[in-house]
Amino acid sequence: MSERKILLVDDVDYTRQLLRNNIMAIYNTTNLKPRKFTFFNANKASAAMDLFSLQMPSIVFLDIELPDASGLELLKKFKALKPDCFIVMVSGVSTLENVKESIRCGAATFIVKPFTGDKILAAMQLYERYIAI
Amino acid sequence: MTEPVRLILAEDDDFLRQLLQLQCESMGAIVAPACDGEEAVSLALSYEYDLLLMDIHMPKCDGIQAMTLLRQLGYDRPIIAMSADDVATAGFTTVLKKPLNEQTLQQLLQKETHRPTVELVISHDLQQQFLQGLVLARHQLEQANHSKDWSELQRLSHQLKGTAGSFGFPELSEAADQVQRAIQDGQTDAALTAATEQLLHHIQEASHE
Repeated sequence: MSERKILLVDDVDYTRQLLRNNIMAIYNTTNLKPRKFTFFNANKASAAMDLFSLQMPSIVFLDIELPDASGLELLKKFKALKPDCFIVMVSGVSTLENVKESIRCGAATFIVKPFTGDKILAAMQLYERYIAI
Repeated sequence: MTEPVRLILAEDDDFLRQLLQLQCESMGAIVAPACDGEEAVSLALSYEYDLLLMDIHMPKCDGIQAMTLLRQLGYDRPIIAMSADDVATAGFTTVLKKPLNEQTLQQLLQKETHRPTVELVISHDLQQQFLQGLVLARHQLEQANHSKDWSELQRLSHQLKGTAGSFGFPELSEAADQVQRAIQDGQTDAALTAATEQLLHHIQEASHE
């Protein structure tokens, strides 16, 4: 089973842990094909950029509102470095503008906070469809 | 007993929306009304509803744009279009011809069932970390409010808004959102302080749970 790298970018430590626990739980409890993931964490844009360049992850959960930069700017940089990276934008603000701009910049999907099991499942199901193509 | 179907009803005509809502509710469905495509997308992305019943001609974002965007985002629940005109069906689960009669609605609702939700897993340790974080957040909020440091207040309330909802405190998240909005709207110091005090009250309540 090939290992996939997931980068979690959020300025709140326990939000990243919540995401990690739930991604793993979804693969253990639903009918998604089991996978082995390695997680990397960044609490701000600068750390995320360093980790991304070093690890070249397959998946990124990226909060739009980061303390030191816009997540959208980071999204563009990630996509330039690794065009096939599957990036899930995360935001507390679900305006259509926000969603469309994220898609235009290369995001695969968009999660509106608060997190729920169904939202994380939908993102991972989309990822499975994405890599199956 | 089976759980009621939860549906989003997107229709810009007020009269028609209210009529359809009453009909769906009388058939046992839970209905979230939306007046345009933007609201429909926002409600759909909450993943709290089993299906989306949507008009095609709507302001801001029409039914086809809303459906295309949702499908692009991986939304795989039923999206049913309602239209008096002929509409290309690709992406829609079904296209229903307007005007809809009660029998058509009945058939639609009978076909759909409420989806079991995937629970968010929150370990005891993580919940404790969140609650401990609230103690710190309370002090920081009090300090920012006292020194009228609105940018710090904005940062803290933004963070709380995002986390509190995920950890099962929607009212706390809403109170944090109110503070954020008050700052963005440039409200008076007194209004900001009142909103902050309301937020502090919710933090205290959450800490005692």
